[in-house]
Amino acid sequence: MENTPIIELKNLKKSFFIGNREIEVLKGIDLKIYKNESIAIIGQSGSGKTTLMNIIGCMDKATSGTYLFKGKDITTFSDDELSEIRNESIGFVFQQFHLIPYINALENVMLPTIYSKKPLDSVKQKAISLLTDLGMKDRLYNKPTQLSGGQQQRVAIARALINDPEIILADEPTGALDTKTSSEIMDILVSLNEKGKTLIIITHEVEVAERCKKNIRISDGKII
Amino acid sequence: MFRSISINLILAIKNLHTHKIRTLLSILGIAFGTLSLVIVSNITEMMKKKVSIEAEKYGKNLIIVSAGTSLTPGRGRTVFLPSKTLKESDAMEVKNSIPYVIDVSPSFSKTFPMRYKESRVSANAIGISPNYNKLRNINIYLGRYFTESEFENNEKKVILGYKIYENLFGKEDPIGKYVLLFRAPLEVVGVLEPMGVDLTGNDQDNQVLIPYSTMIRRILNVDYITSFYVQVADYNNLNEAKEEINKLLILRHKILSGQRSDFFVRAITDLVSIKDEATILVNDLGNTASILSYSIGGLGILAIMMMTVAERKREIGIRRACGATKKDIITQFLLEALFLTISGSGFGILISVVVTLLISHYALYPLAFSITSIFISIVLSFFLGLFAGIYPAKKASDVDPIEALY
Ligand SMILES: Nc1ncnc2c1ncn2[C@@H]1O[C@H](COP(=O)(O)OP(=O)(O)OP(=O)(O)O)[C@@H](O)[C@H]1O
Ligand SMILES: [Mg+2]
Repeated sequence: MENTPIIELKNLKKSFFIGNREIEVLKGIDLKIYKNESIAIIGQSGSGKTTLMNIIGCMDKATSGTYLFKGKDITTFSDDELSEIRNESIGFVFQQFHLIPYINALENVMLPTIYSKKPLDSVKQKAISLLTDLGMKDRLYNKPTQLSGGQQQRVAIARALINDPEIILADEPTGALDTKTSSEIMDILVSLNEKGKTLIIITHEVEVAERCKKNIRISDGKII
Repeated sequence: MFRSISINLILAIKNLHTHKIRTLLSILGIAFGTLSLVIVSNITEMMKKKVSIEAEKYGKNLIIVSAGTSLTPGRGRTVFLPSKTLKESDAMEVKNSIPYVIDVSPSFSKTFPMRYKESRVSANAIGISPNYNKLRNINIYLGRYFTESEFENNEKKVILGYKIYENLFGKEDPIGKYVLLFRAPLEVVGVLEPMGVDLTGNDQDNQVLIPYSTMIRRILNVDYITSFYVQVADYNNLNEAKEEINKLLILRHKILSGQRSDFFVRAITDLVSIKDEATILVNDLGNTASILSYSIGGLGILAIMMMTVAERKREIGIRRACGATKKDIITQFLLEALFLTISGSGFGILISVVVTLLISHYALYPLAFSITSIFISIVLSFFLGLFAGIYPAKKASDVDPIEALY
């Protein structure tokens, strides 16, 4: 099954309704992403990158078209089934980090395991070792507000990895960081790809896009 | 499932921890509702226990028939006019003709001055029939109870109440010594243990016991009695027996309808009715307070939950991105609401236990807890938690994660 794409989108469209007015944001996307690819999705603001990523990440559903996930048509999956895919197969990294403020780094990393159907053991050990690998050994018990932006993003990456997903989805992961920290975070993401994760990054920044093996440009809801 | 519940609870506690004051205030209503519910029930329970202890101390399944008319001239005052119309034969007839009755014990009581050497006291002398010690609970401290022959031969013997013994004899051994009851010399055969005031208000330590026949034939020479005890076989027949005795004596004493009777009959349970006005008032107040606080508490938790859902939309989005289903989100917030109401209730139970201990300690009530009310309050707070949690939880599960995250 080497040449079955992990993600395949066929003529995918997405519209939003504002009042009675229909705005078509994605106007027929055809895309194949294979295991262990690293892809940067680039495009102008408002071109539909985040909308696309939300659909790829099973957070949102397309208005029409087909979504095959590991060869399986998930276009009509229920909310619960999509939740399971998010939990097992996708790790999200956001521009705003999105950590829960009242719990510490370690607990944030363990969060996805609450919803895991797989039998898990030594979750805590695994979370500690993930954070340690990302250079956060001394910050395990810090709350997010006690961490720098780069550190928070490392915690978010560890959280994305805790359930061993195949895919890392990152929307502007370096958008809120300075240049030096950005390149450190990119080092981490690239090394994850080298260890076998499929990496999809949305970005404005040329430096980020250059570090991905493949670039896809979206303009006005279409891949060009 | 269990793991996710326990982790969710830990997270909920951490979140509540960041809003300590708010959390405390929100559970106060439930806590107070539980407090008033459990306290009132505990007090009732303690009173019941006290009554049953007192009743048990007094004697088993007793009815007391006293000679005299009680008048209520007004303002709740009761005046008691003694009469000389109650006879030993009344007691015997009660024993013979009323089926529930297993024994009767006629007695005669009168206050006399009493003397030993230079010490004088005023004593309530009671002439008792031989079976008195089987109907009333008495414990001998020194010496012994009367013998059969002492009763039969109208012997001049006496058993002293504890205070009388102390006041007359001090540390001296009283057994075999003679005391003067009015003018009659009586030989002391025993001393009663200290027993305090009984249910009818008699100070049992300030009384002396004399064989009944000695009292009415040799000391007073009268043909009436002042009261008799009736023992009923079964506690549940106490009230029926009381009615029967009333009817029988009305017949025997030829009391016309509308006329006041010259005797009155009380069951032991009448003496210590726990349903007096004060208790009822406390009960009603307690229940009203608890219903009010539970309602306010429930609404308070509802409000807090709505607030927390609104504040934590981003967290909901994060959890959904991490794989939480809508059901997971509902479970999470329901758990939080339940945790709030149940810990409120637990807090209330804790305080009520402390208050109950204090009441028992300072008001000298026997300690008793109403397990039922504790159980009810936990169940109630559980349902209150469901009620207050379900709507906010549903709202939380409807939060659009995309909107919450961008
Ligand atoms: N929920 C929504 N309702 C209506 N319109 C929406 C909604 N979400 C996105 N849009 C619109 O869809 C278009 C694409 O939005 P999207 O967020 O995908 O852009 P983007 O490429 O990620 O832009 P940026 O680089 O600024 O993040 C925009 O015009 C936006 O206004
Ligand atoms: Mg975007």
